[in-house]
Amino acid sequence: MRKIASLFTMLMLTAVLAFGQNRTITGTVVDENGAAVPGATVQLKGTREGIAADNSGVFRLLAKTGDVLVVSGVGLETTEYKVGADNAIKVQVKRSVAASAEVVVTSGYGIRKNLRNIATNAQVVTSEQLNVIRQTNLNNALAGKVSGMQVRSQSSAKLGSTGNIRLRGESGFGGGQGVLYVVDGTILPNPNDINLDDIEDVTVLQGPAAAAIFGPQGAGGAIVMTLKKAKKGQKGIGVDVNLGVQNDNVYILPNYQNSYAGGGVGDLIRYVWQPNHPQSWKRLDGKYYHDYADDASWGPRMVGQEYIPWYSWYDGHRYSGTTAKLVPQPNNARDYYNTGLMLNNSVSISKATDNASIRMSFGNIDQKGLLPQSTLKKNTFNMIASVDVTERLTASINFNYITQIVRGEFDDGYANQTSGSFNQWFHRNLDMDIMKELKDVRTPNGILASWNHLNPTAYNPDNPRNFYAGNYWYNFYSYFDHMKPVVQTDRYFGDVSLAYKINDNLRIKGTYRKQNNNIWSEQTISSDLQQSATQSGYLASYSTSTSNSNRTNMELLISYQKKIGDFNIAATGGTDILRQLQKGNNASTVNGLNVPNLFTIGNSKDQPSVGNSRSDYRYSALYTTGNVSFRNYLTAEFTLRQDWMSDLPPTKSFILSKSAGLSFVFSDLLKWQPLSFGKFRASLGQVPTGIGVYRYPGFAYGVGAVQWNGNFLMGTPDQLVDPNISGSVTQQKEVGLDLRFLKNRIGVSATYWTGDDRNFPTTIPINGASGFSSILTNAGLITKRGYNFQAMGRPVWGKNLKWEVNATWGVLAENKVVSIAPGTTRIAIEGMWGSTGPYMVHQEGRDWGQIFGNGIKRINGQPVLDANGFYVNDPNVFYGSALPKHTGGVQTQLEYKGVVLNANADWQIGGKFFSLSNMWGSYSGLTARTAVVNDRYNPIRDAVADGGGVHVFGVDANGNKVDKYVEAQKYFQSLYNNRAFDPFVYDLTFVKLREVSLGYTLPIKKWGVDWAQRAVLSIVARNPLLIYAKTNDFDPSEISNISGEAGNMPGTRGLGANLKISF
Amino acid sequence: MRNFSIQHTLVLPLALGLLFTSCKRYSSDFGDTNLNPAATTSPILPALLTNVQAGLGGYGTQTRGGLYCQYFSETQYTDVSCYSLPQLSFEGEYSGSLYDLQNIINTNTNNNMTQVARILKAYIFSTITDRWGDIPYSQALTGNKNPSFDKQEDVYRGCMRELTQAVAAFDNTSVVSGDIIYGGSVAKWKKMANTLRLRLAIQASKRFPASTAWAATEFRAALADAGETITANSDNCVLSYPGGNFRHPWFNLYFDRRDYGQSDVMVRIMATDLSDGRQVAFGSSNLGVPYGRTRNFTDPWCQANPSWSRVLAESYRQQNSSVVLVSAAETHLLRAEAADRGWTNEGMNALYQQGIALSFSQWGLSAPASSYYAQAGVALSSSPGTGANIRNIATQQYIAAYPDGLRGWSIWRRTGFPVLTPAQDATNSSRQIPRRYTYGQTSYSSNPAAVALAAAAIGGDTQDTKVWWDQ
Repeated sequence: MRKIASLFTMLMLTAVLAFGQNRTITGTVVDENGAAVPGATVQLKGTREGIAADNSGVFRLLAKTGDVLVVSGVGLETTEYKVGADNAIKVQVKRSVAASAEVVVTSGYGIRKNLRNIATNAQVVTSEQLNVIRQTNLNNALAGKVSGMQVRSQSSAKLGSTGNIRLRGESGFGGGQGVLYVVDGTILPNPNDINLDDIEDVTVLQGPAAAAIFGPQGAGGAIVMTLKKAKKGQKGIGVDVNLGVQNDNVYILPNYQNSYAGGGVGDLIRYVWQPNHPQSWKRLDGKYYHDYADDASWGPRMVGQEYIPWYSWYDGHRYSGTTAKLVPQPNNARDYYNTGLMLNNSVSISKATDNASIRMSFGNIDQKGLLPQSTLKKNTFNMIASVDVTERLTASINFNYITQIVRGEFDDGYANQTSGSFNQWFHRNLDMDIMKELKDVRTPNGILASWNHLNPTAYNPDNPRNFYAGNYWYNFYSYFDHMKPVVQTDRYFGDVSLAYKINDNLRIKGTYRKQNNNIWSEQTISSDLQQSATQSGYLASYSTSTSNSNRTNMELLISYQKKIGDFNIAATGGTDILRQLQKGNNASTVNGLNVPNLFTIGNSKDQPSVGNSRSDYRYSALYTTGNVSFRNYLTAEFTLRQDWMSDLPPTKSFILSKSAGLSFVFSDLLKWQPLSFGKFRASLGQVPTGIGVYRYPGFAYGVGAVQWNGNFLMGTPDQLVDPNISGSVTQQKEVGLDLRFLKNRIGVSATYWTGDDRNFPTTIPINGASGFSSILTNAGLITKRGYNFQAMGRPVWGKNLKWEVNATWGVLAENKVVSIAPGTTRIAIEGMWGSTGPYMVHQEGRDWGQIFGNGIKRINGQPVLDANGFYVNDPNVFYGSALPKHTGGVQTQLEYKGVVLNANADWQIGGKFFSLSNMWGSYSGLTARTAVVNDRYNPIRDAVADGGGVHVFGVDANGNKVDKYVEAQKYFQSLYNNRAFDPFVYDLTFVKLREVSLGYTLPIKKWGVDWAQRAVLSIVARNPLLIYAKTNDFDPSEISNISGEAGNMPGTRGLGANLKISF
Repeated sequence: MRNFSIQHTLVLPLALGLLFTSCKRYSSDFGDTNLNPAATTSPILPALLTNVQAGLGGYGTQTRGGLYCQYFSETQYTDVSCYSLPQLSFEGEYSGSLYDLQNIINTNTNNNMTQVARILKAYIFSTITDRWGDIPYSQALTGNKNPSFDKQEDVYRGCMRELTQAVAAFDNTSVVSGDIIYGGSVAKWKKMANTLRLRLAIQASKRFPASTAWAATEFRAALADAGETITANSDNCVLSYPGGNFRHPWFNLYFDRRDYGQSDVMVRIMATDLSDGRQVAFGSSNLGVPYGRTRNFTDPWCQANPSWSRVLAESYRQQNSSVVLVSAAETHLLRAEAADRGWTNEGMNALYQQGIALSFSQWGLSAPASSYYAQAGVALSSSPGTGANIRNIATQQYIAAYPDGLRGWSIWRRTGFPVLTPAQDATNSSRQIPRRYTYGQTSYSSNPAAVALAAAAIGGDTQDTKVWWDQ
């Protein structure tokens, strides 16, 4: 403060001298922390003359003492500054209070625009909003924070899994279009390879009007990330250290029954020792056991009676030959999973001078997963540097390198060796502590002990393996000890560019951009696994693969900016030439190994399978985008882009896409005090789509890799290709209103959008009797419309207490498949149990992604029952769309004297999924519903004659009432046998508290610390509370597949701490 | 542009020049970029043929039909043998093997290969219609996205016509390569086709019993054909697996599973009722697995009886074992039936006993003693031409077809022999043995109007609806 005061004195002294003369003033715009603010507009008050500050916040203009400079800009409170005598000035501006008030939107090719002039509902998430709890997954970190976005997360047990994002419903006739991830202009195939601590902000561009500039890849919308750059004038030495630790525990599991033990038969079986049985079993003679071989839990009621547990039959450990009490193990599945632990540390160094800036960061994530043997190690390195070689020429480099090693198996499909057993095929009486203790117990022949061995009646001294080996399953701990998958990813991406400022209005920039990824993976399955189960299907094996993908862009961009009278013109023209090459090789052993546990392709029992893959894709694009503003309140913007794509037929290799929009800040004219900001906007746009590499003209005959006695094999391709196929465009229109009141204390945004996909080049499954299973053609019409709402408010905004609330709400009013193709009214997309279980289809006349298929036949809504009391099948049941109708979230931030409480909850309503786990879990008597009490107050598993049984109601084929009791086991198994799957289709509706963070700015200055500028300690919680879910057995925000799950990993939650220190 | 300096006069034209050069590049095409380096654009016909033949073993080892006709029992998951809904799709067989054959026929650069493809196409179509009844046929394999369904009678007539024409159209010059069944022997393909004609004719006998009707006429024409029928086991249509990457289906089924066993019904017929010597090949023991019981009965039973009979003795299901699709035994037993029906005047008894002996020798067994033929369950005691011997002839056809479950199921459906009792723990509404598969979800999804018409035409798409030749 003292410095500024003396500066003022100086200014006063020199003021008189300089008064009246126009001279060049060089200024720097800085924020309240002294950091340079790039891009602010500096105007002389009362004139229309103005200039934009450069990337370092520096501007030069002619002014005279006494002139008033008006500094305004994105995210800034407009500030006036009176020119004194000094020629070098520093203008301090306040970051604007409303985070969403004046924001910069980033679109393609590094073009940044003021949100004020944007005609679409572009939403920006800042670094602070993104990193509330320092999620390691971008998609999860965005959940709830963007209106119109649905985040389909995945269980954190699947290390490295990113989940998926939908923007404004879904497009196309496949499983969904996916969004484009862009990092400082480089397109990434997934959002994993980025250190979230490096992100400055994220712009979410929904719809073709916003994403048109990205061309063919932006059809599903784009998530555009801008990385942090060094800023001039920062306090301290520019080093930030971010230390984090988080644990991870199982949270949501299906509800199990805890009354009945394992097996397929309801009674304990008496063991009678036979002379050909092992001598060590003699002491078990006369004791009782439950059926071990059936991996179901229709066994005896667990009341603490004595029984022979699975492990007693194996010699050589401390429980050999002992009995135990048959008691429930309600937490056995939960107990199996580890407590996960994650260390997430990063450090960054940044420095900017007048003509150069550099920022380097290093991030390290070290994770131990919930599944045994699973780890993830990731290192990220990022460097962004820029040098003004001359006043006009700027050279920049942006380099990112990410290396990641993931170990462990993360299978969440049917019959996987964790959830695939616990939720579908399991014994409810298994004690996991003993399971763990006995994971290395083997028979003299080396067979690993299993809980799922056969019953002793099957013992045959000539073939002891038949008894001792697992029937279908291993000891879960042994399994993971003997199976070793590893995937290593090395990715580098970034660009080098040269920008040349021809004059104040015209700039030219050339960029060479690269994104290169190498993946190496390997998996071994030990010979011990092969011999330790008889029906598991596991063979000793070794497989390995390497692949490389390599994208190169050459971009040239010319931008023009000029203020002419009341008009501000900004236009950019450019070219983008892409080549994308992919190569891969893979090999695996076939039918086992010759030498046990020797893991090499050469050790394959039969001819190993080898494969290689290649693809080559190019596009060239020519585009222009720009806007014209009138007095900065009326702005028209436009984009035109012509793409030539190598995957399209040569005669029709080009597509034109376009967008246009208008924004009108009417509050500038209204000048009504309570309304701080009011904008109306409208836009429409189109984005092109190609057809995919090597798909035109079709009929490419491959050769089978293995031969039949020297005869090679070849199959006719199953896809027809329409000779007239062409690329297409997807389009959307939207109108919206943004309002902010009471000095930006309250804000609301509303957007109504409509769109359609018409004549998409798409694969239409056709009836196989045609000779082909699909045709690639331009077909169909999908119409969509919906609403996006955003709201923010600051109920309290005092000096000590600040409270801000943000809310988002997206409504998907319609996402309808109007037509598919002549003769095709339905397309099958995905099934959890083929098309036997309910599966996902697109059906003409219904919303996208119907869960459809086998279910219960109904007459006037009444289920039809056959003579056995079982449901009658109807193969054509529509259960509803997989898409939720509503998505949204609420974020709140409460700040009191350096203590900040952040919370983020998100929710969705609607959408269906099919649970294969619950279907088999009920078939095999594991789920809670298989052991309830009926309306006669008797356990349903009691015989019907004894008052038990499941009470079924309905009608017979003639519509007459049926009301009877059915044996429980038969009832639940009939649901599968008769394909009556209604009880296993659930709703995706949920409300979830996803992120909570309590941060405290440590009073380090008070402690006399002068080597650090700032230190913030936070306690964070991930998924602390699933407030509401319509299904009780799963976390609906983490369903593994689009249409359901076949072995979903458990929902998890974590608790951790972060310490951020700025030096 | 007041400050335009020498630098700008250079840079701007350079930039614009670059822009236009790159624009010019756009208008040109991308060369070979979109040419898949891992594929050829024209089919290699012998490789297509090998591809189809390599998959044919599946037709001779199909388990579902074998479960319905009680050759086999399920040992742990008993839903199929308790008649859970057989909602299955045939589309994959069309776009897979059948279209590969159609592709050979359409390309037609090698006449004999075209005829072989027509024969195999008729074979596969006959197995499809035997399972579902009315199916797409006349409009199938044409690229028509919504082929209508043909009546089974028309499919049968079509297949018969194709076989007849193919046999006649063979030449003596074009060489068939890639043929892993007959090694390109045109003579053997003719025999195979003619025996197939006998099979189709007899399968239609319920609808055309008269000796002057279509079936009998076709039967006699096939029998009289100069190309002859399969009369020796060396001419059998056999797929011999090389092992390794192509392994015998039953070897695979027992490789790391044990889902199927020989049924107690089949063991009783073989070991108890007939003391049939072929049982040493048909099963691994004489302890058949109880048929059609619930999982919680069968699974513990199998554990308590670990020596339950596997399908085929181990030496017949090595990875390089063979699958017989059409045999000399079948030819003879079909001819015996035709004689019994009065369609021919051939020597019924001699043909019948030859057929049985050929079946024994097909399994590497010597012909049974005469006492075998004298048993009441074997001997043909009524005179030929009466049709009264059908019980024993059908039973022998059923035994000779083992373990080809599709054949066994079709023989039983056509004749009612051997007499089978439906599963004790059947879960379907009728509790009867299924008479057909129901149309799959794929048909309902991708060809809804046609399948709806077909379902209505047969009186309901249920597993109890009898196919045309079964009515």
